[in-house]
Amino acid sequence: MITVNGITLDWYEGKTVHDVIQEMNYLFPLLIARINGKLIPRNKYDSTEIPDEATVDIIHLMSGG
Amino acid sequence: MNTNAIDRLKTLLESSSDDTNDAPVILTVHLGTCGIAAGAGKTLETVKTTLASGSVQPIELRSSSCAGLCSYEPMVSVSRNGERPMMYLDVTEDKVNDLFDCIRGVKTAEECHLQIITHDDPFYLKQQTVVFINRGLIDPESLDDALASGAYKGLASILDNMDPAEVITEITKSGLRGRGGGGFPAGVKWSSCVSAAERTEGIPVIVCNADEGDPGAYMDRSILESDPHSIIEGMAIGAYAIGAEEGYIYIRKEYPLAMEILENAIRQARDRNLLGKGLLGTDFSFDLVIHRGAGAFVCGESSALMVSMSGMPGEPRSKYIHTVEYGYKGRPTVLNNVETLANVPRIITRGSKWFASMGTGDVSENPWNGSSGTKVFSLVGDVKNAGLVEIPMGITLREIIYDIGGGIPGGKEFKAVQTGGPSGGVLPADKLDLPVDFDTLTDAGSMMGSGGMVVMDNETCMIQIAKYFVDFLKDESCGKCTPCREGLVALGTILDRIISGDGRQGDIELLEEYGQNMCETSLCALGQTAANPVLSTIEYFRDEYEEHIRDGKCGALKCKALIEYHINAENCTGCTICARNCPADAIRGNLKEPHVIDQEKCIRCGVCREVCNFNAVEVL
Amino acid sequence: MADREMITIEIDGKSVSVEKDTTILEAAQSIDIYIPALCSSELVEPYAACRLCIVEVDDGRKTKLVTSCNYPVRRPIKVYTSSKKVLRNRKITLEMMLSRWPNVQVIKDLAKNAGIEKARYQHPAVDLNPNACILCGLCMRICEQGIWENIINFTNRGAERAVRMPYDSEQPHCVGCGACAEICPTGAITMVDDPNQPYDAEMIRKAGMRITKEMIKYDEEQCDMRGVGTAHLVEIMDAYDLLPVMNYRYGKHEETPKISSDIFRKYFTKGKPDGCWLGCTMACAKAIEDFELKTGPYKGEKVLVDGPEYETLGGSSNMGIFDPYFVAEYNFYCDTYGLDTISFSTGTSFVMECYEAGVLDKEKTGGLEIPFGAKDAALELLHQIGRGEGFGLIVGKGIRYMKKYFVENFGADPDFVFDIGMEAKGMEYSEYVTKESLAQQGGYGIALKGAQHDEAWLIFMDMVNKQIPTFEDKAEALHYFPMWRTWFSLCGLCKLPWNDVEPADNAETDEPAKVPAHVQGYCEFFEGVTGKPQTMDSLIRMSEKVYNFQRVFNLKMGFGRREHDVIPYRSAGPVTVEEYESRQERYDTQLREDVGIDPTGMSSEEKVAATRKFREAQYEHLLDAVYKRRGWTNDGVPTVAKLIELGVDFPDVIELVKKHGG
Repeated sequence: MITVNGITLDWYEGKTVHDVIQEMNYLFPLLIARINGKLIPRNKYDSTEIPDEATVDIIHLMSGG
Repeated sequence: MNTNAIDRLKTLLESSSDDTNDAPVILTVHLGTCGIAAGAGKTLETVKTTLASGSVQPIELRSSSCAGLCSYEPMVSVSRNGERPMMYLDVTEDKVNDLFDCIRGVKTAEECHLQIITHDDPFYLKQQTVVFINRGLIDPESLDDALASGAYKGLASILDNMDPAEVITEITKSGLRGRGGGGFPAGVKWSSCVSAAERTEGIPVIVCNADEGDPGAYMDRSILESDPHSIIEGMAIGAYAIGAEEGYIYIRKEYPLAMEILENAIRQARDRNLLGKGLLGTDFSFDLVIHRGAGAFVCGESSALMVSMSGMPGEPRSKYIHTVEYGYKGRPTVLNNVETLANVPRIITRGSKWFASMGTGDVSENPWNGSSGTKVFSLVGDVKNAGLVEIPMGITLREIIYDIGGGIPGGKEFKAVQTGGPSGGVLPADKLDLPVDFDTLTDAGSMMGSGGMVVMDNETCMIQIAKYFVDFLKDESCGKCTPCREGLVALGTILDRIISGDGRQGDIELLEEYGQNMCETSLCALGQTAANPVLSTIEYFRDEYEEHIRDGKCGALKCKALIEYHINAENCTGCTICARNCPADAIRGNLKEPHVIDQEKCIRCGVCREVCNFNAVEVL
Repeated sequence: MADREMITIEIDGKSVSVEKDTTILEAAQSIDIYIPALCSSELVEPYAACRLCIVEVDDGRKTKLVTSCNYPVRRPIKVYTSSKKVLRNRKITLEMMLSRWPNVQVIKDLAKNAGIEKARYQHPAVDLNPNACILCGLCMRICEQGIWENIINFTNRGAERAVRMPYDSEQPHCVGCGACAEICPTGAITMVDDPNQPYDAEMIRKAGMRITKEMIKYDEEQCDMRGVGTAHLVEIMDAYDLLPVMNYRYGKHEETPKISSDIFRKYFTKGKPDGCWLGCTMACAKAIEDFELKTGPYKGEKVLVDGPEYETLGGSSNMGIFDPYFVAEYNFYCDTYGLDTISFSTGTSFVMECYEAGVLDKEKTGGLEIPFGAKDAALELLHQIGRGEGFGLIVGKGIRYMKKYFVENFGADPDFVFDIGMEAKGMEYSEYVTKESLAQQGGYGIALKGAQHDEAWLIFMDMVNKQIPTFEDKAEALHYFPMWRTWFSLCGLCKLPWNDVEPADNAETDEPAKVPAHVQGYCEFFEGVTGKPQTMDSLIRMSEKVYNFQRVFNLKMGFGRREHDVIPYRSAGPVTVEEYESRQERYDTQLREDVGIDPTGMSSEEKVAATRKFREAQYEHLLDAVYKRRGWTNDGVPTVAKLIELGVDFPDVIELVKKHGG
C-alpha cells in the first residue's frame, strides 16, 4: 500500500511515478513528485520505482488566468 | 478494378476535332524559344502573309516546337503527301520567298542557298527519341494532337489494369533513374514515399522540378514546350502510384513560353477530365498547380525548392530526413525532374522491358545496376551542330560530339567537354571514348547531370573555365553554409591571382584543399559539387595551371595579364585599320608604315587582331 | 513516456543511450563531450549552417561526415568527434571564417584551438569589425521560432548574404524584446536606448529573456500555451471534476472531448503571435480565422473569432453545450456586443436551470425554450441581450438582478434562486467548480471585485495536494496569493508568465507554488524600471496597501463587510438531491470522516442538509481565519492599526473604518 496525496493506493513491485500519475488520472502538466519527501525529476517518472509503504506527493502547481 | 478509362479515352479521341485537311503539303514552323529568338516568329508571319496572298495554295500551315538543331534556326519543315519532312535551315523572314520557290519547284534549294536536312542526317540518325518522340511534329498547344499521338493511353491503362504497387514495380523494373542529375531510381523513390506516408500518416504530393538552371542547359524547357501533356500524364501516373491527389510544377520564371504552353495544356486536360476530380470516370482524382520560381539556381535543389514553394526564401536544409518523408510543408513528397516524368508514360505504354533494353547494364533486378533508356543533352559550345540531342545511354562522348554534333568548327581541335553543368566537371580528349551513363561519368570526375554538355576547343583556357563556373556559383550560392559561401570566395580569389599572373607555388594544392573541404562538408548537393569544375580541371589540366603559375603563360592566350599583343612589322602594311579600331588608343604608326602597340595603354581586348587583314597582330 | 524508443550509440568510444531522433550534438553534450557549434542553440531548431559541428559517423555500412547539430540518432552508430578528417575539415572551415572576420573573438578562439592564426588567402571583402555578423542565423531564427515574429531575416545570397530588416527600415512590429541581441554570439546586434529611459534597461531585458527562454524550451511540454492557450485547461478541469457542467452542478461530462483543446488546436491560427502584446512569447490568445457565422446580424459572413479561451469553453459546458461551432459563435457575438463570455454563460446557465426547475417557462421568457443544451435558444438570448430586447433585457442585467426579478415577478422560491444563482457582490462566477475546495470558495467569496478567481486559484493546493489543511494554512494562502496577484494589476502586467511556465529547477525550490525564480524576475523588472531594489516581501507590501485601500473603498460603496463576502451555496456544496447522489460516495465518506455522522439509513434530503450545515459553518470559520490574517475585524473591516501600519491612514479612511468598527 502507498499513499498518494493522502489517498491510499495498491502497491505492486515495479510501480513507477508514471504509473501512479496515470492511475490517478493526473492530466495536469505542472507536477512535482516526491517519494517520502525526496524530489523525483520529471524525466525520471517512468524509471523511478516506488517502494511499498511510501508516501508519495504529486504536487500540482497552478496555471491559467 | 471495374473501370473503363480506356474506353473513355477512346471517346475523347474520337470526339477530337478533325482539322486535318487534305492539303498535299504541310508546312511546319518550329516555334520553340530558341526558334523565336532566331526569328521564327517573323518567319511565321511572313509565311502567313504569303499564304494569304493566295499564290501558293493549297498548303496547310502548322506550328510546332523546336526540332532539335538549334544552331540552324529558324527551321521550317515541309512534308509532302504524308512523307517524312524535309527540314529547311536558317529560314529567316527574308528567305521565306525562296522557301516557297523551292516548295513550288520553281528553284532548287541550292539555287536559293537554302540548306535542307532530313531525319536521315547523322544528326538525327544516331539519336533515339523517347521523350522527344513528338518534338517538332505535334502542335504543343493542341490536346487533340497529343491524343492522336497516344497521350494519356498510359494513364488510362493503369487506371483500368494496374494497382499502384504494380505501377511502381513496372517503373522500378524499367531502371528509370532521375534525369535531374542525381540518378536516383524513380521507382525506388516512389516506393519510399509510399512507405514514408504510411509510417508518418502523411498525405503525399508529387512535384515536378522544372527549375532548370545550369548554364547552357535547356532540355527540360524543350520538353515542356514540345510535349506538355507527357509531363501531365507522367505526373498523374506518379500520383496514382504514390497515392497523391495534388501535384505541383516548379518552373523557373525565365521560361515564359514553356509556362504558357503548360498552363494551356493543364486547362485543356482539366476540361477533358484528364485532370481534376475522378479522372476518366474513375475514382482517382488529381490536379496540378504551377509554382513559378523567381530565378535562383539553388531552388533547383530539392529541399530549397520545397521551401521556396512554401513561400520562404529558397535555402536547402540537411536531408538526413529525406524529402520523400519530410518534403513540401512537411509532407511526404516525390520530386521528379521533367525528363524523368516524360519517360513515365512511354514506359507504361511500351513496357519496362522495352525501356530497359536501351542503355547500359541489366537493370531488371536492380535499377542501380546500369543506366537504361535515353538521355537528352543540350549540346552546345564549340560544336558545329548545336542543339538538343536524345541518345541511348551508353554511346560515347565521341559519337555525340563528332557524329551527332559534327565535330569542332573552324578547323580547331577538341580540348575538353564540360558535362553536368556547374556541378559537373571537365573531361579531356582521352575520355572521349567513355560511354555516357550515370556511373561512368561520375567515376571519371564529372557527372551526367541534368544534361548540359559544353564542348570546348583548343583556344579555351581551363583556368578561365574554372573561374567562370566559380563566379556563376558564387552569385548563386544561397550563402547559408560556410564552405560553399566562403569556399567559393576562396577559390575565386586564388583563381584570380593565377589568372592575373600572381599565382604562387602551392596555390594548386590550396585549391584542392579548399575544394575537398567544400565537397566533404557543404550542406547541399550544390555546395558539395561546387568545386568540381576546379577540381576536375586540375585533375586533367594540371600542366596548364602550372604553366600559368610557374611560367606566367596562358597557352590558350586568354588570360589578359599573361599575354601581349604585338604587331609583326613584316606583315604590317600600315593600313591603320587596327589603330582606328583600338578602343584604348594604344596603337601608333604612320600610314603605310608598320604600326606599334603601346603595352602600357593596351587593354588586351584583341580587337586589333580580329580586324587585321594581314595576320600582322600576334599574341605572345 | 515509457514507449519512447531508446538507442545506444558510441561517441569517441563512450557509450550513451538516447531517445530516438536525439541529435548527435545533444547526445555528446549529455556525456560532456564538447563539439564546437557556432550556429546552434537549444532555443532554436538546428540550422547546420556553420558546419563546425561536423563529426564522422560509422553506421556499419559506411563512414560519413555529418553535422552533429541536426543528425538524428535512428540506429546504433559510432561517432568520432575528432577524427583526422573531422579536424582537417573543421580547420579549413575556420580558416575561411577567419579570413573574412579576423577580429571576431569567438572565431579567433576556435581558430586558435584548431591551430590557425591567419588564413592563407586575402578575403576580398574582409570585415575587420570585432563585432561583425558571422551569418549564423541565430537571431533571425529566435525571432521567427521563439518570438513568432519575422523582424529580421537574411537578404541577398552567397557572399552578399546579410541580416537585415525588410527594406532596411525600422520595423514597427519590433518591440525590442532583445532576443536577437541576447543570442548573437558576436555582439553584432545592439539595443537602442529605450525612449522610456528605465533605470536599468539591461536588467529588465535579462529578466524578460529568462522567461522567453523558458517559453521556448519548456512550453510545449508544460502547458502548451503557445499552441492552444488556456484551452488546454478544459480536459484537465474535466479530469479533476472541476469543469462546470449545467450551472456548476457537476464537474465533468462525457462530451467534454468535443470542446477540448485537441479540437480547437485544429481551428486555431498557427505560428502567429497573439495580439495582446507584441513580443509576448507566451502568445496564449488564440484566434479562429474565416469562421462562418450561422446566426445574428453577421449571419453568413466569415469572421475572425478572438478565442476561445478556457473560460469561454467552461462557460459552454456550464450551459450543457458541447459544440465547438457554438463556442466560436457565442464567443464572437459576446465580443461584438461588448459582453463578457463569463457573465453571459454563467447567467444563461442560471436561466437554463430556472427553466428546467419551472421557475421560468416559455411565456416568461417571451417564447424561448431554454433548458440546458439549448444552443439555438442560447444564441437567440445572446442576440436579444445585444439588442436590449425582450427577455434579453432582463438577463443582460445579471444574475443578482434576475434573482430579485424572478422572485418578485415570477414567484420563484427565493432560497432556491439564491442557492443556484452563481454570483458574489453582483458579479457572475468564473468557470471553476469550487465545491471541494474551501479555500477556493473563499477565493471567490472574499475577492474584492466579486466572484473571480484572479485573486487566488487554490483548488489544486487545497483539494488535490492537500497542502493547506488547516484554516490558518488556507488563510495564509488567501493572504499571499491575492496580494501577489494584485501586484500584477498594480503594474499593468499579465499574470500568466508568472506560473503558466516554470523554470526547470522550480521543483527544487522551497515554495514551488510561488515560482520563486519568477518572483525574483519581477523584483528585477521593478528595480530595472524604477531603480528601487525589491524583495518578494516588499512587492507583497506594495499590494497590501492597495488591497486594503480597495477594501475600504468597497466599504464606502456598501460592499466591504462580512455580509458581502457571502457565497451562493451551489459553490460550497450540493444544493439538490440529484447533485448529492451524483457524487454520493464522496459526500457520504465526508459525512462519516469529516462531519462525524454515519450516513447509513439517512435519506438523501437529510444528507444534503447535514452536509450543508457542515460546509456553511466551515466557510464562516474560513472567513474568521482570513480576516484575522489580514488584520481585519471579524466583520471584514480593516483595522485602524493595520491601516496605520500600511501608511494608508488618511483621515477620511480612518473615519469611515471607525464608523464600521475597524
